[in-house]
Amino acid sequence: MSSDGRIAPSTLSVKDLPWQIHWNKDQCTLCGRCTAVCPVHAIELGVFPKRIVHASVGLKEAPSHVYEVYHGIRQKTDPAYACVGCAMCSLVCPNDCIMPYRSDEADKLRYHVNRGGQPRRRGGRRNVPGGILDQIKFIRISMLTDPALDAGRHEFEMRTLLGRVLPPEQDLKLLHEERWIPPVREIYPLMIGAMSFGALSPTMWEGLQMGVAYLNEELGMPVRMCTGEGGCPPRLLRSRFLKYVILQIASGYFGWTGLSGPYLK
Amino acid sequence: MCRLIAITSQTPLSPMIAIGALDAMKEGHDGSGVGLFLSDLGGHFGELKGEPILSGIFTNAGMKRLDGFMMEVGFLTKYKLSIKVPKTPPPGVPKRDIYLIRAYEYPETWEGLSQSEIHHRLMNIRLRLRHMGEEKEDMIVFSFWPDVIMIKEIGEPLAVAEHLQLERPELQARVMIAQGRQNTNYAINLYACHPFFIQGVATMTNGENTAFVPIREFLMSRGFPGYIGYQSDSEVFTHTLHFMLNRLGLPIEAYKHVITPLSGEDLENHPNRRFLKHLKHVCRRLIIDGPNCVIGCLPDKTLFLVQDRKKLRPGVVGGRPGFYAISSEMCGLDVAIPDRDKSKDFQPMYLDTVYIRPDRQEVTTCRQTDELPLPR
Repeated sequence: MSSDGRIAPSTLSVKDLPWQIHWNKDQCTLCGRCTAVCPVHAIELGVFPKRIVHASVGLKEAPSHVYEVYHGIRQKTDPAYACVGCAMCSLVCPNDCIMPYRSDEADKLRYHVNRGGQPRRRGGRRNVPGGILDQIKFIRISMLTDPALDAGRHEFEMRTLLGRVLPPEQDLKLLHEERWIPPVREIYPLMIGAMSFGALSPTMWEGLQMGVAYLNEELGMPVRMCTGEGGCPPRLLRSRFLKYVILQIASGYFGWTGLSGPYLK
Repeated sequence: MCRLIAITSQTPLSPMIAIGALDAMKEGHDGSGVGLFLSDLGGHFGELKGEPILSGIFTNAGMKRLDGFMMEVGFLTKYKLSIKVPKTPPPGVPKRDIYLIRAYEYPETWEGLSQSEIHHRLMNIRLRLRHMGEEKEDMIVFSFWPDVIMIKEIGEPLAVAEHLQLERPELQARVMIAQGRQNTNYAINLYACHPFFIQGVATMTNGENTAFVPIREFLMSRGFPGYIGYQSDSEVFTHTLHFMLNRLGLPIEAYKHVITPLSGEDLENHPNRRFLKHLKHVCRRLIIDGPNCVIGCLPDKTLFLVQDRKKLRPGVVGGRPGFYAISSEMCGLDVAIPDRDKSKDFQPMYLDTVYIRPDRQEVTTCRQTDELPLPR
């Protein structure tokens, strides 16, 4: 702690450092050799406030107090000056009143030494330039047609096919011969970023499941949702709404999109 | 936007008529290239019906490799047209050694093969020549098919036609389709130049197809060797049509149901709704997304035109019995067939498929909501 007492979220206490310096005020001669010799400048001269209480025996005098200061050694909490435990201070001390001690807990200093740059993040980015995200360019499809003016030409088909879609030749042949064809239905895919159940919080998947149930039971829309490879929560497995869920188990296919028809065998 | 013209005539005509029509529509293309497909040939090539004709552009070295290869396969030259071009091409036209149009006699070993086997082998030879040419960049092959000549070149259509002297009588044809190119997205490549050709099917397109990538992936995964290339997003129209005709055995009227299927009430009310729903599901990846006008020629020399679902590209058909044309613009039609009854000109709309059968007696219009003439 610095003497002016400011505390910020990243402020360290002496206890956070790997080594703490114990100093005995009563033995110290204030010779200053320890602060002079410290190779990492971990200690410096400190001025400490001290309240002295005078309470004399008897009732004549009321107890009183006075503020004084005393001088001594202060360990810096700046990680750049953290004590390395070399004990040079002990070696030079004439009264053996100073000694570094290894902290009895894991130091938190390691979270503070790497200053500058980006903090570590989850998600696999290694801050290596040239990653695929850095290479993506957003350009216009056509040099001739302004997409803003031409947007009306596009048709967006919301529905996707659920079922085993046969190759065109085979399907039309079976249709011609009036034989059995695997049923294919058009459904509205509810696609939430193609995240699997394993990546969603219970609140999230329950909310989605409620939405799916609402669309089916109240609006009569044939909506289904796929668990992804993340597995299915037991609570849902026991629920009667399981019928609106496509369980994806060991399909070896990551994620589920409108394009993944052939993978959903 | 490219400009397109397709002409079918009882009497053989010079391809300059098509070039003249493209020239009339020159505001609509940038002169970056011209492609020409000639069929139902007149002249000497017309007498060789049945013999395959190779069309392409070769360097002198490529010519030697071609001769060696064809000898090896067993093809003998029956008749050839070597176009001798002036030493200096017009501005914008690259210098080439040989524009080749050569009719071959089938190898003796091919006698007795079925028609489909011959068709398959012809395509494979074209593909092998194309691969050979891509290795050493000494040959570009457009077509190898009976009764078909194709010429493509970079440059302003009229300048290219005069440079290649397309006026010559050997090149007269009863069916011709031609495109004046507007370069849009890619570097100019002759394999990206319309019309595209595969086994007798030729089409050209006006406009871009935003669903190009999934369609290409679907076609390439069919395991058919001819579905390659795709230097242009319009090549998928040709291959989709080929797939529909040859693999699915459907008539031209079904083409629109493949590339722009009906939806909602229109589909529910269609007489063939059960069939069309199946077709829509299984050919879902072939659905286009774009402002497109597709004009083409079928193996039986039927000319056709289909529009995209919203009719966002121009197209007009007109003429008189025995002589009809399909054009991007009215001015192109006026140049091709000036003496016609203009009140009978027809601009197909978003549901229409228009075709002219090889007898050239009338223009047939088929609405997508009409019943399909399905094979029984």
